[in-house]
Amino acid sequence: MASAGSGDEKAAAAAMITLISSDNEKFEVTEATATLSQTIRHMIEDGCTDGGVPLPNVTSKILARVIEYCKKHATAAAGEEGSSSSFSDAAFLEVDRAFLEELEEFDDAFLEVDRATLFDLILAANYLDIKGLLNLTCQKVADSVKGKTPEQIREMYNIVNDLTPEEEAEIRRETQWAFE
Amino acid sequence: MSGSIAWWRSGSGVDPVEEAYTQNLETSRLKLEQELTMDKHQQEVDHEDRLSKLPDDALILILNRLDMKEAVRSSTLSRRWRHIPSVLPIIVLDVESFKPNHDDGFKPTVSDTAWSNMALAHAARSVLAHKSHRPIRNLAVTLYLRAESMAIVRAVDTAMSPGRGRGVVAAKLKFLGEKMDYLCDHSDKARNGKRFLSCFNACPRAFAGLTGLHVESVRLGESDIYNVLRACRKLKRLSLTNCDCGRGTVLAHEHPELTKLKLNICGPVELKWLPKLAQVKCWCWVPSQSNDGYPLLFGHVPRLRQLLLFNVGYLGYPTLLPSKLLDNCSTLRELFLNFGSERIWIQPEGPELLAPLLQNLMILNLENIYEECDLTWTLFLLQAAPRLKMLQIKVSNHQCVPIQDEMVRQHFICAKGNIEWKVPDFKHHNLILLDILGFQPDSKFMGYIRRVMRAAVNLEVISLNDQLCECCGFCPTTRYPRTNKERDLIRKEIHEGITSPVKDVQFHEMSLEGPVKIID
Repeated sequence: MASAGSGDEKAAAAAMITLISSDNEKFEVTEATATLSQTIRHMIEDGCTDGGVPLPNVTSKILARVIEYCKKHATAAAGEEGSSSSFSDAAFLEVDRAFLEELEEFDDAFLEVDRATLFDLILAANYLDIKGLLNLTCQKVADSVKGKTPEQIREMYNIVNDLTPEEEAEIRRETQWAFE
Repeated sequence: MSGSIAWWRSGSGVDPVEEAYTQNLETSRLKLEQELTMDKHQQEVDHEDRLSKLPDDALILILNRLDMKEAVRSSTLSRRWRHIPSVLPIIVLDVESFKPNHDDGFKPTVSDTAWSNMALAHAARSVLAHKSHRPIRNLAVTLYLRAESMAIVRAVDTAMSPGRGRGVVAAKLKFLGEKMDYLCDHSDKARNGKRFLSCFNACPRAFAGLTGLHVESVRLGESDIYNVLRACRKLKRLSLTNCDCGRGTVLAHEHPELTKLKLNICGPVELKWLPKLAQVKCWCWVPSQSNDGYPLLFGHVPRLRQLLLFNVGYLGYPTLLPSKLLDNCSTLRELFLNFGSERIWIQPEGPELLAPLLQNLMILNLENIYEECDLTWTLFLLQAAPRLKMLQIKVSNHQCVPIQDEMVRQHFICAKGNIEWKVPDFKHHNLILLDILGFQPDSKFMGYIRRVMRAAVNLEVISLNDQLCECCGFCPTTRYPRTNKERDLIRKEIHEGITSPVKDVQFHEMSLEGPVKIID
């Protein structure tokens, strides 16, 4: 995802947006950071961000983390754009590599959260439509269930099996190939 | 809670000491109560099924990160999960994951490939039969080309039929040969060809919607290739391994959408009319007299940017002239030539015929030049490509699977004579990066580097790297400079007597995760 896209990067960097969490805390962020969220990008395009953007589904605690993610990835995206376009810069290979490594480390550290926060982040990323963050957090959940049996997954995530034995048998019949 | 404090406080005529005492008592009670409710809350949070409460989109994203079998198994978790796997936008079914499990003593009565294909057919029918308003964004099915292929391709065909399946945006079919390519004889290829054509004829909608197609060890008639390509009208990527139309014929390709073509162990191919073709990979081509041993004939390919050629110069394989190899192809930006650590199969030549063909080249990659070979000859390519920005050379004798059998070696491998080619003095103004893999601190490399520097007046970076095989991790013991002192010595030697030094001479620590720059 590009940060400032084709727009004037300088102007985008200067423009500030106020995000308001569900518990009424205000966060000032640059437009480049905010537009990592497609939801906010559309709001900006429609010109409805004056007076701040209320985000009734996101608490200040989660919003702070989301902004932390967007800030990091917005700079990375800007850096990538810059480096890939200037092929004449001989150090382009280094720049890209260093960026990616740093970003990966950031992402790993970012995911060191408890399960409740992880789910809150997924909900926020889904609501704000931040693809990178949604992919990152969903990957973490996917990794946690990889190689587990349905029974193990139920136990792990407190999923109550409300299927009747008949229903379960029917599903098992339909999906037998997946259990072999 | 604050209400209850008010109630205690409102009690009139109470002794202030007692009041303070009760207040203290109350605060601690409140605290305890709060802690208890927090605990309870925490417990509730801990026991809450937050996963199932996520919106469909998030659950779909999570499941699409698992393999297909795991994703489908989740439908037995609970009612909430029952239908999620049937709306997944990405469906990947690979016959490899349907192999019979021999560990538990199970022995199918049919061959493993037949068993896997049948299991895959069953899965494909089950997965692709679902109805949903969410289309399949990406469908990729890898199967063995066998009699059972038909059932699998039919399932794909149904999924792609308007009004019957979910609708498919992009689809890829990968037909694997049941036998390894080098074990297939003519009759195997002819039989595979028949099987492929019967699928093709029976399932026109599946092929009409394909964006990617891979076929192995198939012999088709010339008109068949033409028909298949015409029917697969959305095709963007085509990959052929060990495919031909009988001995000595040149396969002609015409397609309006094709962007990437990969040929592996194929005879010569004519790129007749491929207006959107951007990349061609040609591996281990089989030289044919019909095209003087040249693998490709370039027709109308105005957007071709990347060409990757890899071959081992076996006995009887002709040495190719680059100007003939690239005849009529002047749009290339990137050229990769891999020599497989055997004889160099191109013949250096002057820039007269070659320069017009390399006029747009920006990246040149010469891979697996055998260690004993001189490098100076490579300058003929630099001389003919004035816009080149990056020159990468990989020197190595390593072969992941070396030919051990001496008899085979004698029959196939020819002596690697050195290439001597004198390049006159010339100036190159655009090269900025010289990247050498398999660098050794000896006179051959040092001489080569200094020769490139003399020509490339605007060279900015020289990157010198040790040997490492990215495929198998092989890294030989070499004299690659390991210490600060050795590296400084090399920097000094490179620049000795040269008035305009390059900005940066870099060394990299090689690892499978990629090279890491050594900072001195």
